[in-house]
Amino acid sequence: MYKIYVDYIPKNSNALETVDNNRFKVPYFYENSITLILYKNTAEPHRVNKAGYLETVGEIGGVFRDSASYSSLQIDIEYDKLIDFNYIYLVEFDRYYYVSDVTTVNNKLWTLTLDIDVLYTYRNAIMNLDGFIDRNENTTNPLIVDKKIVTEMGEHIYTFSVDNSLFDGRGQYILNGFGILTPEVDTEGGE
Amino acid sequence: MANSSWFNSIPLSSINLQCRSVVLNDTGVNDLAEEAIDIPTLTEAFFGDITKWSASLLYLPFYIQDLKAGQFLKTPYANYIQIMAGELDILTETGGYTLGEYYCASLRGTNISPSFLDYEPYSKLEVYLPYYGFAELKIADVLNKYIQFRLRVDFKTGQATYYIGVNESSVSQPNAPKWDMENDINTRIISTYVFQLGYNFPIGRTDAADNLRNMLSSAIKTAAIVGASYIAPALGAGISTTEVLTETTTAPSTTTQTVQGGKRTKKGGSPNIVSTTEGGAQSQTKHITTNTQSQFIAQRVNACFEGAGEALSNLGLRTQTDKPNNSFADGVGARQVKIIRKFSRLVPRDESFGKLYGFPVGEVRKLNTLSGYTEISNIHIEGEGFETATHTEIAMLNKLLSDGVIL
Repeated sequence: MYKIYVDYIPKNSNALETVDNNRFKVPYFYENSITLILYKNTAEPHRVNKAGYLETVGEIGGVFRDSASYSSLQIDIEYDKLIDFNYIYLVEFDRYYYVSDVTTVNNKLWTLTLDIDVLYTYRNAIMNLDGFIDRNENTTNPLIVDKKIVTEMGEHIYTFSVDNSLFDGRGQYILNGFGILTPEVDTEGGE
Repeated sequence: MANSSWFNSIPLSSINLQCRSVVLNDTGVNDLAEEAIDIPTLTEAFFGDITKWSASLLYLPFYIQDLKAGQFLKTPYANYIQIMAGELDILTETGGYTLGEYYCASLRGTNISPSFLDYEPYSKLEVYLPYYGFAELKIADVLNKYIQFRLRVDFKTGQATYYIGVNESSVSQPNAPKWDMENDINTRIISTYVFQLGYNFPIGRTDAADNLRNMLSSAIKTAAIVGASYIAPALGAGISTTEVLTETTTAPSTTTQTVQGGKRTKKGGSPNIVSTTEGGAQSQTKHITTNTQSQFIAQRVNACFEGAGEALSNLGLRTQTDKPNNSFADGVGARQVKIIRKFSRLVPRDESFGKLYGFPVGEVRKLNTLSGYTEISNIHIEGEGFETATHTEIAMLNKLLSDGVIL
């Protein structure tokens, strides 16, 4: 985890007078101020498009005083109230970050731990990708075996009759033999 | 009822042309029985009565055809019997019957789209076939098709075969079974079950007539035979029981006697001693049974009707089966083809199940055509929009998409 400083300066103000550079004699990112757009994010982390869940809280500027990673970084900010946001857009990086942790340093100075939200950062590019879809909330092929279903012990049983009358009545007999039936009326041997 | 067009009847060969088959009902069988137990004429006794010339009396538990009064059963030598009967078409050795059909939609109920839950192992499809029992059908063979039940009966042996076929069309469009190549359209036989439907009454089984013929023949041949008719009384203690008994039989005897080979012996010097041997030779023993006519009839009756009664008790008209429900307990239920659909009970789930787990898709789709919870097992993360994505970020994306995201 890299730790850098983003000095709290009003956007577009003259930052040199307000920068606390006691710890860093040469501001690393002195000329390049950065802009943080602060949001309240109510979307769950694995939602790709969080647009409908972001409420803008404010915007602050600053400068980097140390190396910074795209994916994870810490920043110190001056903020004159309790941190009331949990999501940040770092304009110069063009990346969105979760505020993963907040640490108080001293009065009005806070250390924020930021982790990149790659989903919202690359949301447009992601939505144009083709992928093999294992599962989806609103689309399904019902004939695919779903091993996530939960079944109870026991079973339903339905019984249906196939209507037929073949075996309804009395049966008959078949006498198989040697010339045993004649339709002729016998006048000699008949009993 | 008979629909033999379903099956190819096997024409009888010319050698069997004199082999006739008649259909009788209960009354006819009773008439036959009365004839069987009637006092045989000398001709009948010698050549056999009508039953002697019968190969089999087969009971089939269904109606075969109409009978006509005033028919005569006839053998070459036996007396005629006037009887109500019907002559079976001499070219018909088998009867074909259509027992109906059943359209197999979703096993879980009507108006439910088929799903994997309709197949094994989540569901089972059984059929109860009268006089056969239960058989399990493979659901994939029959789902969304008409299951058609046909029966072929061999009138000579009583052997029957259930043919279960499937057809996308109703049986009212009588497409012949698969193996009837001339008429086959799309009915496919998926299973056959061979069983013994007819019960063969043992009417011709008795060898009593043989006994009587033997007796009469013996009487004729041995008319001049004279033998000693000598019955020796037992001669007291110490006498071997081996005796020589000889009796000339000149007619159906009224007694049953035992002739024991050997010598009559006696120890102790009785005046009646014929010869004396030590050890007594009971060398051979044979039994000759002769009967009175009444005994002969009784034997025949026993052979015919005790056997038949026993057979009826085992015939199982009210088939006792594993009962999926009470309707099988009565005879009517047991005579109907039954479809038994069984399926697993699912834990009820609402739409939140889909939000949490999604449902199987199993195909390649563009993600912007989908919405909601989605799991993507394979995806190539490349192209426009990823120009600045780091390798770590792409790896993170891969994992997230595979684990499931909400689009």
